Amino acid sequence: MRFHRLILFFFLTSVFFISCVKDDFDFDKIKSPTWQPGVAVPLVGSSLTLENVISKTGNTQFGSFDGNNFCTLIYSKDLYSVGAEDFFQLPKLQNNKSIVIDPIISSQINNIGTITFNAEEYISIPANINATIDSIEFKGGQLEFTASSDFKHHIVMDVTIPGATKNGVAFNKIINLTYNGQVPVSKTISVSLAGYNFNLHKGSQIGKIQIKYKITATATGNPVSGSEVISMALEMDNMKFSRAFGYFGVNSIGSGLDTIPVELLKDGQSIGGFSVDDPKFILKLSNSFGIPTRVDVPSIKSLGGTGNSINLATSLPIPLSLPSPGMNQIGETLYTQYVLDKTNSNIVPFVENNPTHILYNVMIGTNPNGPTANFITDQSKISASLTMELPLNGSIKDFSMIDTVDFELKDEEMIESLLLRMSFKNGFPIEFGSKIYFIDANNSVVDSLLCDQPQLISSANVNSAGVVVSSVQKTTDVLVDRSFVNRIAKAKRIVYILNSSTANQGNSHVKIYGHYKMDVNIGAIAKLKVTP
Amino acid sequence: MYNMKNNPVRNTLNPAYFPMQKAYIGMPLFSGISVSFTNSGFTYSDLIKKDSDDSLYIDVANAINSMKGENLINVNTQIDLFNAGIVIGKKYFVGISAAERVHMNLLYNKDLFGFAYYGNEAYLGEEANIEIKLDATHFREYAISFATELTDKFSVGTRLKYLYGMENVSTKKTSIHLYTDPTTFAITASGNIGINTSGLSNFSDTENFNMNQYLFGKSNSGFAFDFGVQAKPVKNLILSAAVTDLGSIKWKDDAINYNAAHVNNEFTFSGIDINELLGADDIEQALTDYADSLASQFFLDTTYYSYTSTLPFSFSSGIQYNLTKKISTGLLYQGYSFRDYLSSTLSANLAITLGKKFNSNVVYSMGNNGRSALGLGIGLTFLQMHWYLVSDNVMAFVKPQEAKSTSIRTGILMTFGK
Repeated sequence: MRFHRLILFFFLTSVFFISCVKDDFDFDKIKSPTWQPGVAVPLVGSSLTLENVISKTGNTQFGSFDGNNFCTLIYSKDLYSVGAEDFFQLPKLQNNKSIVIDPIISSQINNIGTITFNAEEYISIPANINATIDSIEFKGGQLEFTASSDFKHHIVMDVTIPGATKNGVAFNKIINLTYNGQVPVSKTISVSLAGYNFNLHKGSQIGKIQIKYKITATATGNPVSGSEVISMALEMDNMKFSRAFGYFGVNSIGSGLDTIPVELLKDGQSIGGFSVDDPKFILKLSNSFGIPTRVDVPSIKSLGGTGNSINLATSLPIPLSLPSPGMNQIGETLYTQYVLDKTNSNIVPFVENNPTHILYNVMIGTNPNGPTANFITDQSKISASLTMELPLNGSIKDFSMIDTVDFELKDEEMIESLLLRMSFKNGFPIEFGSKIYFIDANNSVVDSLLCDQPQLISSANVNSAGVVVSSVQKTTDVLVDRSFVNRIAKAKRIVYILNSSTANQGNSHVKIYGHYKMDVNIGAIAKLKVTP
Repeated sequence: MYNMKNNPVRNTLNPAYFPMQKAYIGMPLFSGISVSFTNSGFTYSDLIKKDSDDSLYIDVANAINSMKGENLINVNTQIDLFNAGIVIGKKYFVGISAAERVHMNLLYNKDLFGFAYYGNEAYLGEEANIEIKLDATHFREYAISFATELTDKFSVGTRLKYLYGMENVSTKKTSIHLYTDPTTFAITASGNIGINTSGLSNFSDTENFNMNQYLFGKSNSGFAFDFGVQAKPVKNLILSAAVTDLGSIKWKDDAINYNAAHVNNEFTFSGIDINELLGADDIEQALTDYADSLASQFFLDTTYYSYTSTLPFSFSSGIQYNLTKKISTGLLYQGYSFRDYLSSTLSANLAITLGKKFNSNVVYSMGNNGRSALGLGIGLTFLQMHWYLVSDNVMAFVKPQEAKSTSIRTGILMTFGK
């Protein structure tokens, strides 16, 4: 009996425990777990120097550094440029000539069998400018010669251009007009001008091409009416010269009044004011035309965004000196430049006018002193450019840029809170502020960030010369919670405004060196809520 | 089972033990089956909690709090294919056996779960050391045992084992150290990853599976040995010590090695370096290239060299005192070593032996995981059949949700003589 009770005790105890255990292992009763990790992520970690930014972006033409690593911004614009093929062009040449053979001679042809006679003509080469050309070396173009005869006899035409030589051999072509029972008899030949050197005639037919014809007629026994004509049509087209010599006349090839846009500020950028200590303009002229020229730049004006115009009021000489290469300098380019700074121009107010455009007038005239021996090559060019050198020594007040980017927050339900930590160790004498606005589809601001932070990045400390003596670190934590996330989830766009000034709210003149450095560390801790 | 005198296969724990019987032979496949499980880190009830509405919820934080710095999950199973032994004269014992064995040891540290669950925010300014040491092995053991009584008071025994390896996954030194700067959140990572595998293609390439080749044709082989001593310095006092499974297996078949391409290369990610993006024509592509460059720090190289894995080994030392002819008591220290982790258990037992027919053992043990356990073992002999059943934590069968470890071993043998 005791044994049975013991068995019963063990049985009931086992049932009790098993029922308890079964409850604990009923996985259908497990609630969906929630996982809330805090993920700290570095977003940006960079050490930026101006020198590095300029070299990495390939904008080395916009910035240079001297031996002390002092930075100068360089901004170049071409004012005017004219090339040889713009200056001197050879339009299409067309010339027709007809030869009527003396009826007495032609009537005897059937008796004589063969008759020969000569003819010549001088043809002017047309040009777009008033010029007297001595010689032209062609690199391209086409010469087409069409001969036609209504003689009922065989004609052989020997055409020679004595002044046109290629490899020392004068141009010579023979055209056979063989009578085949029908008149007129025509034939066309086409010759490339590439490689031909045309020495144009001098004396009474100066500047013209001499063409000689030797015509031989062989009788066929057909009658002669006496009114037969042999005609020649010459056409030279697409003429491209490699060199041309002569006198290219007195011509004006200047720019006239013109403007160029200045992109110091782009769309969305504005500036409260700035000052620069020692800007420079360099007017650079270059010439590879073998033609004496006169260059005048009577005005250079800066047109500010407000419409205010300031003349550079230069003390440039009139005319400017621009040498031209001589016959022993063919292919060379000669330069001259004029430096305009605050000692010889109105450049400081010119720049501080914050120009959006520069108005200028470049006037160039050829052969101002009368006829001389000129030359041009197909590479010849006269150009004028203006380079602005802006040493980064000055002050900027309230430079701001505003931009808009599309925004869509994804998986926002996972984010419980977000701590954004922005740490800047600034070695530049510039302070920055930023504001970020989240905009919904109705263009309403749903929330903003950093609007209560006048400064996000503090300026480095500078001495009286405007040189940085120590970096300044500033760390800003922005904590956004779940309700903020809910609000910006409705946003479709972000408008961000970046504002910057040089040290002391733009009241200090500073100098910018290439080795100045800003350490940027931006990181975030996202408190997530993950439900598998 | 260590102090169950009637159990003829207790010499698997100490080869110096002589069986009480003249001879024994195990029933094929039934002579011994054992399963043991340990998770020193946390229990089921540490992880799964009951809420006030009687529902269950997962409390990972509590499970992590329960963990120590380094924790072991250990699963051992053994099926004896054949087991036999005979006492020759009075001073010698010879036995042979074959067993199919699987063991899996996973050492994990608290940071592995802590880092994954809390994120690196919880580790700002301190290093998270994520370490995993794994060895999972399936092998067959062929053993021959030999014991001898050198004197009336002193006996020694050994077991030599040939090991036939079938599958293995084992890590070499695999650890990742992560430091998150508390100010910039820059993450510095270093570490090493090394994983060897053998025989895993059997699971993926079932079409070319050859059973005969699998069971007997592999060239993964190794050797191990057990060694034990027993001394009776004074009447009724027995001292014993043993070490088992000292050995290794060389894996040659289907061996694959995965190793970190950048070993111990300390790498810091401070965020996207704007300098890398300056001047890029395609920012998106530049970011992709940047991410690829980061990811390459964690690439694994794959090679196909043979490798060697060592067996986790056990050792024990005990003192037993016969209070009467039927009752004895004692203390036993047992250690289990995997890599540099040592699991220790100190137990006190009370054994009752009623001739050859009945043998029982009650054990109270305390392990270095801080948990105590009550173990029971019984052995019954009827006619020539000896059946035994032992467990070192019987409460695990009653309240498994609160157990960190348990084991069960049972078997039937035919015994002869004495």
